[in-house]
Amino acid sequence: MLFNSPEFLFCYLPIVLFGYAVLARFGRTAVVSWLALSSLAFYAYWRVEFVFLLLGSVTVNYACSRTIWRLRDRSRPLMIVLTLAITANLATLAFFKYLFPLLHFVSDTLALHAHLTNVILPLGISFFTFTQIAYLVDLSQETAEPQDFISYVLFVTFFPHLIAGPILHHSEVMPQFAKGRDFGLKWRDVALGMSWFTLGLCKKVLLADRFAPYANAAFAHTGSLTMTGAWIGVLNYALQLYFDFSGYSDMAIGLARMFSIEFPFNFDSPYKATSIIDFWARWHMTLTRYLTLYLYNPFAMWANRRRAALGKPNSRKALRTVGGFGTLVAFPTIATMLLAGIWHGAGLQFIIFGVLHGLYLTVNHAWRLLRREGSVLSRVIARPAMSVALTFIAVLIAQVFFRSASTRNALDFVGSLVGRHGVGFREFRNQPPHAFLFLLALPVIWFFPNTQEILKQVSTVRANIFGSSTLIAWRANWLWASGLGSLLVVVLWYMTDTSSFLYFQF
Amino acid sequence: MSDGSRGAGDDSGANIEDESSIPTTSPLRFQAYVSLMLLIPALFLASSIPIVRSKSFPVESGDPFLLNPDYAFSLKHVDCDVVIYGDSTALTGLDPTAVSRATGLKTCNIAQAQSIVEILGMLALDTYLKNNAPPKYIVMQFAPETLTRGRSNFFWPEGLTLLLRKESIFQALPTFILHPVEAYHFSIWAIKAKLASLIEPPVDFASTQAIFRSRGGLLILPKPPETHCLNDIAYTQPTVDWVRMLKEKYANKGTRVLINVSPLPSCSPIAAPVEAGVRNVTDNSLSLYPVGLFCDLDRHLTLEGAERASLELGKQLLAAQKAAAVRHEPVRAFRMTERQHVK
Repeated sequence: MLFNSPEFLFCYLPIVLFGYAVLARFGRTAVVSWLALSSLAFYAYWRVEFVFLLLGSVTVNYACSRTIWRLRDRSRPLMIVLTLAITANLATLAFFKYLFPLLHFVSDTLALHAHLTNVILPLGISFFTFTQIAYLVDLSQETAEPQDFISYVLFVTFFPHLIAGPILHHSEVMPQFAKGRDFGLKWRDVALGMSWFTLGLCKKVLLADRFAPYANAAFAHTGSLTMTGAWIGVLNYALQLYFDFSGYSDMAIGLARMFSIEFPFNFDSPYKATSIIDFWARWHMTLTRYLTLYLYNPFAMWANRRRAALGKPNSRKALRTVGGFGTLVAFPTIATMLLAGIWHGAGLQFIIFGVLHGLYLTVNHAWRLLRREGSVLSRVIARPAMSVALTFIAVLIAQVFFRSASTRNALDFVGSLVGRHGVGFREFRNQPPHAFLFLLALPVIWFFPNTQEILKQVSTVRANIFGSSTLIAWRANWLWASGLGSLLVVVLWYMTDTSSFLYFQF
Repeated sequence: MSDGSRGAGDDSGANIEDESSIPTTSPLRFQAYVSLMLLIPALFLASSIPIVRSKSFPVESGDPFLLNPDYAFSLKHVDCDVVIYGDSTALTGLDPTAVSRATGLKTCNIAQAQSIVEILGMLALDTYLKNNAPPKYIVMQFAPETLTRGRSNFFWPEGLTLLLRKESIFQALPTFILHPVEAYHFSIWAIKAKLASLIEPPVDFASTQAIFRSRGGLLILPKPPETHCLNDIAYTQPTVDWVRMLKEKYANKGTRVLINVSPLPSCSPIAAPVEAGVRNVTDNSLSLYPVGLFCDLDRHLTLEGAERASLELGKQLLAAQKAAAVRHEPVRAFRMTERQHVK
């Protein structure tokens, strides 16, 4: 079920909220069970048969978590169980997400013309798999607490985050389902959550879906685009992707807040980033955290230990040597981003996307280490406009690989961006005025406050077109209620043709 | 990546301000806020009710199946011998004047679009029967898919339009509450249609209206003949119990009920399964016409197609009359001899 569908807005959400309000009188177990059941129903609406896969995954992982907790004092059996559990999770993910694309690739490459079927990718499988692996790892390190079954089911399947995140960490969500909490509808949270949800819905329906046709058209004709057409296309895609996913995240955070559950932020104006490192601290923030905790840190630790074993120093000075930088920074960064690329999809273009970002990050780290303060280049790049523009262009190039159907298409598109198929203005002439909506949206993403700033959910508001003021800060007053209510009217007008979220494919 | 870890999520939870970030306001204020926020879209959607109930809406809607929504309800004491009912295939495919010519029986066509049948059931037919003498024949013609019950194509606008126009708001409300998604789509459709009619003149249905008036209930869509068949149709078997129920319900006071399946184009990919599916279920067998006799969705006929279908119906009615006469003849002869014996 999509958050931007009438089924969700007019049937599912009112029923779940009503049930939550009523069952809150009967205590925690009733509320948690209701939310868990509702979440499974939410998943079942897509395909009932895959609920069994989800429940199977949850049950097996829960059993593993109990075993791991019991074996916490016996490191060797614990490691065996943990390894088996992680392998089972990754094998399931690999079967659904990577096996058949890989077989197709092999069949096509070797001209075997094998008749291979495709399996349907279960919605949200990457998200619920990684959430559970993280829990098992932390449990094995005793940084997580064991849970009762229903709480665990709810933690994994809670409908606002089930399909496309944010990727939750047990430490921030489990305590919110714990005993002693006051459950029941809190009108302040309902008001805030509804406002948050509405802003996300607007991002999706009124913005992302408007950019989509032009992005799709451009990426469908990668071999024939002029330079202007390619730039119009890639800018439309950049905005579609941002408003689609950040809109989804806002909706998820808002929905959770209606039930007084606080989710972590997932976007923080990423296109305002002044470097690639800054970009990844703002884009899909919960994925970045996951990658850092569960991939980058182990890789970096391994590299550290290896150098130490070889008797090489791991000091800051060592980072300035080629060997030191390569082992301690470049290797863990590129390896992590390579896996992040593979996580996003089966295809060489996703691997290139990941490696490209790995290289960007490595260059960014090298620049930080090696730049000479006060040099002309340093001063030029340090200017906010220059650093934001450089970062944005680097992100756009990587997004071409992220969006393209194949590596060949992506390379064609990059060729178009630099004028390989002519500079031309024919796309300008052929486009309807809506195609240039991106020209209005770009100032919004660069100069306006973001959702959490507008909703006053951060302690400091970054400088924006209104300074650091709260000129358009949310308040629970009639002006905001009527403004958001009117926006909902516009959303309803456009929502008759619902479209899926881009991140549902992951 | 290493720097990326700093703020990514670790401090994001901490970013969420505590209670102090939102002014301490009474719950009542938040309730009022939520109510106002929801009231505006609710009123927007509800504005479709007066729009749909307005006199001008059937024309403004641009939906040809709403052009004569009151026709069936307006027929009083016309006392037709043959009453044609059914879905849009009957409305667009059976010409009462042609049937009359072929049979000599006074014929009326009070068929309606399928969604009206789905939502209002047999209201139009029941109303007609209440206001007129029982006919000799009720002919119900349905498209193959309409013969299958329990499908979910509910939100077709004609049915909900007529529901709002024929019933009071309180009678119609449960249908809308029980089908909120359909109600939403319907409201947006109605409001968009109204606004579109304000911006540009409504579609000209003069020729359709003229045919409807001159032929007493035949609606021909102003579309060119089709050139090829649709290929994306799924078909499921008819609901035999429903067909039987219709026959039992309306076959009284001397009325005979014929339940027919509408013709399909000969190129239709579902022709064979439909032919097999309706065998021994409907009173006719499936007719296959050239695709050029259809003008819409492989179901709605051109005027030429409607004339052909009407002549077929005429023949079917004549055959039915003949069969009934043969059946009654021995009975009459037996009664005659019985009376003679009594004498």
